[in-house]
Amino acid sequence: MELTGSEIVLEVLAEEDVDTVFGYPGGNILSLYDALGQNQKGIRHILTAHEQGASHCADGYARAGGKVGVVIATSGPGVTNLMTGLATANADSVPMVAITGSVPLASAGTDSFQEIDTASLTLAVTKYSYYVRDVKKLAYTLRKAFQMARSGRPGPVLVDIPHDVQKATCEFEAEGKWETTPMDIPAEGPLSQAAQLINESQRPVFYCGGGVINSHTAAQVRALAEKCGAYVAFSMMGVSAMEADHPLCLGMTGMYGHMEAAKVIQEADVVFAVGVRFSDRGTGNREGFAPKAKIIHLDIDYAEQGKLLKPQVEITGDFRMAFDYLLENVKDQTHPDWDQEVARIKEAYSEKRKEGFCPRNIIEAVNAMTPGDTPVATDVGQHQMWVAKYYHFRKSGTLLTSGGFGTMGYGMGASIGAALSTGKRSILFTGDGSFCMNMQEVTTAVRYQIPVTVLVMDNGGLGMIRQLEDCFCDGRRFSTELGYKTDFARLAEAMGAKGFRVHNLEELKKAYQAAQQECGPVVIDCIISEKEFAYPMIPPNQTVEDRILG
Amino acid sequence: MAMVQILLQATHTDDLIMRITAELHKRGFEIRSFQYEREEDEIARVRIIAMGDEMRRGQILRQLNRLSDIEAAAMKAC
Repeated sequence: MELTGSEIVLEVLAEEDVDTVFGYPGGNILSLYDALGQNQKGIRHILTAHEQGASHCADGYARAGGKVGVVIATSGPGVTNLMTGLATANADSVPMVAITGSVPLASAGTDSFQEIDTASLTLAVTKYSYYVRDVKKLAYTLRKAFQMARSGRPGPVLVDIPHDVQKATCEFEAEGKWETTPMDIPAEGPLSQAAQLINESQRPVFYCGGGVINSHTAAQVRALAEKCGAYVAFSMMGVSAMEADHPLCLGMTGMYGHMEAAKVIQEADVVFAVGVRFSDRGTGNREGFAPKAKIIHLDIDYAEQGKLLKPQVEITGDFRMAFDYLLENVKDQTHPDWDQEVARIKEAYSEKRKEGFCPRNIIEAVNAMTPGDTPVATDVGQHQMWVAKYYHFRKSGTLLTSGGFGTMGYGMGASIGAALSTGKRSILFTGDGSFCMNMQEVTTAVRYQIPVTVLVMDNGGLGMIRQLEDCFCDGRRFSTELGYKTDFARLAEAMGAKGFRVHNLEELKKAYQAAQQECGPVVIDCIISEKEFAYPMIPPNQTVEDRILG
Repeated sequence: MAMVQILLQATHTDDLIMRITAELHKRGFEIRSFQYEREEDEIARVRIIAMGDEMRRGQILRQLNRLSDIEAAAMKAC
């Protein structure tokens, strides 16, 4: 059948079972929006307040729902506004397809209104970017984009379509959804070496990253850890790879993580690193990271092997196949001496609890009132570290956070996308700094009555940077004091949401329970002390022994 | 720092050169010479001489291999 480029986009979205897209209209994407408005494919469009918000919504939709997130924007500023969202998804390997309009072919290269070279601009922040000059190649390119976004190490792929190509027509033949490209089969040699190292180990530790979440292998991680008596630590992206209350779970390690997790890794004789890229935030000084251990690295991406740290065994390929082999070839073991040593480390390195309306008690109170399958988003800053450390995640993939790119303002969109893809009320923990970056998306949640509970950890400033000022600038403050001057609860009410301002745990519990009864968004402004910090902290490029206690 | 010769065989696309040079730049390699030959319509052969961190030589080859249009990549010392 003869279709326009815009109609072809909708046909391919339907082939891919896309039910929701996020975006913002504009001149050079008008033809696609016109077709979208008349579509009979059941594709729902969520109009956001800003393209950045749309890109984070698509990201959250993808992470929480395990689908490819789709975002649509116009040329020029529409594209530049998408950039941060694409970079965020790229850093955390999130499958997304961005569809952008661009100036008609005849105007390309003339510096016309809202013109920008989208493909080259987005090259550094996407897995791949396409510019479609010929409508006859549009269906193939879109199908390829979806396949690429979800294959191997996932990532965002952009398809830029000139406005006249959206309006041009060609013959279209329906096809089913393209299969995801098969993953590499892990070689038996390294798997056998890995099994041998784990079998010989007396002090084994697993270090899990986002690859465990993406590959849905948390159950296999737990089964193997239980089988060989290994403790399990996470990078930020790996948080929720094992239930937080499991006796073998050490929680997040790294700069702002649990110090006991970092110390246990230092004492390990084998570290099995699964889907983790040894980011500086996770390892600190790499020479001091697991100095007594042989390292086994399992990753889907061949280019991650040996990039930052040279492992003794490199395994590349399908995680499920790797775990199948290891579960068969690793012996049942217990390590009573290692258990005693870990207990001693936990005693020596664990944080002491505080009383009152402090971040840990706030997070634990919310945690206790929330079902385990609730998607929990964060923004970036101290609150992000508090959530990663103190929220007891019970289900893999329920934390949505910008780990690699560290995007303040990520969470509002992500929590909207997560609520839509799971059909559950999502939670956003944010700070007063991060919330201000994209709070306009509260209006999106109000418009569509999307159930999101926003908890603003309001300490009147940029706490993470204040902490760094204390550590590295002799406590001098500059541009980090926001000063509690905005009442976020009243602002939420002005945007059409429900708002609460709370000063203690009792008020928080009442407000949170009231939020559960609402259909749309609720903002709870939690007034906490400006003296709350994310200590202890391992300074950059140092080890747990150099930690600052605060 | 060391000088290396990188040889690539790839599927030609309009932006292949941009992708290759961007990857080299991102990984801290400085291009000294770049030769791009398009054979038939689809195939491109690329010969690059670049200066970069000796420790990252293996890494740049892996990263170039990751680009979906690259079919084969090899490296020689100069």
